[in-house]
Amino acid sequence: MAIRTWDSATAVAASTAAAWTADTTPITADTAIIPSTSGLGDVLGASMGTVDLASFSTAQGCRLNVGTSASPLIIGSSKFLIRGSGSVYIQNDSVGAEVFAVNSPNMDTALTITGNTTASRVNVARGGVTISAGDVGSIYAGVVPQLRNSIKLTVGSGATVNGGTMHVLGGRISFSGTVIGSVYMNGGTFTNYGSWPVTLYLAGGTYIVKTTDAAWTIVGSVLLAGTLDLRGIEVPVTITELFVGPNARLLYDPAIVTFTKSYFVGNEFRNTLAA
Amino acid sequence: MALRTWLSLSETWNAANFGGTLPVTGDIVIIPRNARIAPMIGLDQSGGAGVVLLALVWQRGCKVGAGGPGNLLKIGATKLYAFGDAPVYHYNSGSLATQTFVDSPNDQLAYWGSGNQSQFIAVRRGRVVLARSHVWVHTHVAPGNPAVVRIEPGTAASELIMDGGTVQNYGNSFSATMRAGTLEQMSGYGLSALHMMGGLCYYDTTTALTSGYIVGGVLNLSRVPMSRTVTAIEAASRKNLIFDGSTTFTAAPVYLDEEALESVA
Repeated sequence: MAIRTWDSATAVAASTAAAWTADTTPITADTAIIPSTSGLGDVLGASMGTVDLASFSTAQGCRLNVGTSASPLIIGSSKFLIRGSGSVYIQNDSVGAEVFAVNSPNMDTALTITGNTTASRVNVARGGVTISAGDVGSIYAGVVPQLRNSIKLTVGSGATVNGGTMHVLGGRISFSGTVIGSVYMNGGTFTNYGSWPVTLYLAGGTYIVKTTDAAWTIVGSVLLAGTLDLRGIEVPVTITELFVGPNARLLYDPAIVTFTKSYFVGNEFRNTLAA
Repeated sequence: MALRTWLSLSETWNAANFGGTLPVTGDIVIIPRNARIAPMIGLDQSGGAGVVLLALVWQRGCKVGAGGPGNLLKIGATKLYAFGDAPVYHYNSGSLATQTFVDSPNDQLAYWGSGNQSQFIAVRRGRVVLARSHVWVHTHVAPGNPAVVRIEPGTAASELIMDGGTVQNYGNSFSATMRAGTLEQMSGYGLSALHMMGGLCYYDTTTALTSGYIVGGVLNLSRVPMSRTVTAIEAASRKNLIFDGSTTFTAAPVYLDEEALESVA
């Protein structure tokens, strides 16, 4: 297990041995670091799918790009730690569970995950993240206080959050993938252009639904606080189970949304029979 | 469907006390705020197919409840509103799950529920004791005395949703989701999943906690020195998780802020 640090003065493929310290390409269980040293060239994409690193990281202050949208870096790693300000394109080929942790000042393209062979956790404190394909177990969107609402987390069509959870503490999420799990929101804004999660627990923030799918619905969801905005639904839909607490706000068009088994707890407590 | 109002002529749940006709399935029964006598006799309405009211309502300010320990009002009700000041002892004998709403100034006992049918119960104010086969419990916040819910052993609480108040849980629960309030998970029983976005949870039991996401509030695993196992837990930061050597983690807790801010230099 060795630490390999990028030291190439020119932009070359990540598989180039001379571009790393000790002139040795990182191998499985190694730690690969893209440093903040000035005068270095970008890390170009390469096919290193047989390598499964312990850690791949870009250092704080690093301005280098890693891969491109057309030619991502194909590599596995238990952890991908993105702290630099460049654009990083990763096709993850790890065989185990892995973590993508992002705290980058790059609000647009800090990290783009173009493939992911196993369920992973994506943890975004700051920076723009795009998940365009693959299988993600859970997503945690945090916030950096002085840069609130700076997160852009986009799950592209075809991506799956597979049986996992999304914890959203802040930022802005635009989602068009498939969720098979739960969403817990404390803050921020989540716009759902894709299919609906099994359950939504809203304790703050705003969840906006935009769909033209008449089969869209929610089951067993709870609104404790925050806002669920259903005014972006363009076709008649039916909600089968929803609990709405007195501190939550639900916005919908009665001509579009039908509730068959929903409990508006605040209204129940104010029921006119017992007023 | 008829509206039947309790007339307080005597303690007996009979036709005379409802203007000549005993409430039947589909009726709405109101115990009015000016009631002077509580129904205490003839409370078993579960004979035959059983009566399942559309609604059973104790109005706000009502000074009488129903029944007592060992003398329960046995009747089904699709919805039950316990908004009065006195205790309501209820056994849901109907064939349907009851939706119960409690908003009472009685912080000693506002509603005591039992019965074999499932029950969704939302508590805004007042103390509630539940000894049923299966409950969903939602607590909410209110000024003045808070919601206090005690879930008795043997009760399966499939989902606890807390937005305030206190829940003392002696039952097994599938999951608890908290935004505010205090959850005391008591000895001998556990939670399969705990999702905290706020509030305080004391996990005072030896039963393993198999899954936890603590992105807000505090999970306290050290109030009582008893051995317990936590199999998977993620917390937003270390301040969200309190534990000592009595807790065994089969996998190290994941602190999401440290994961994102991990030094890589």
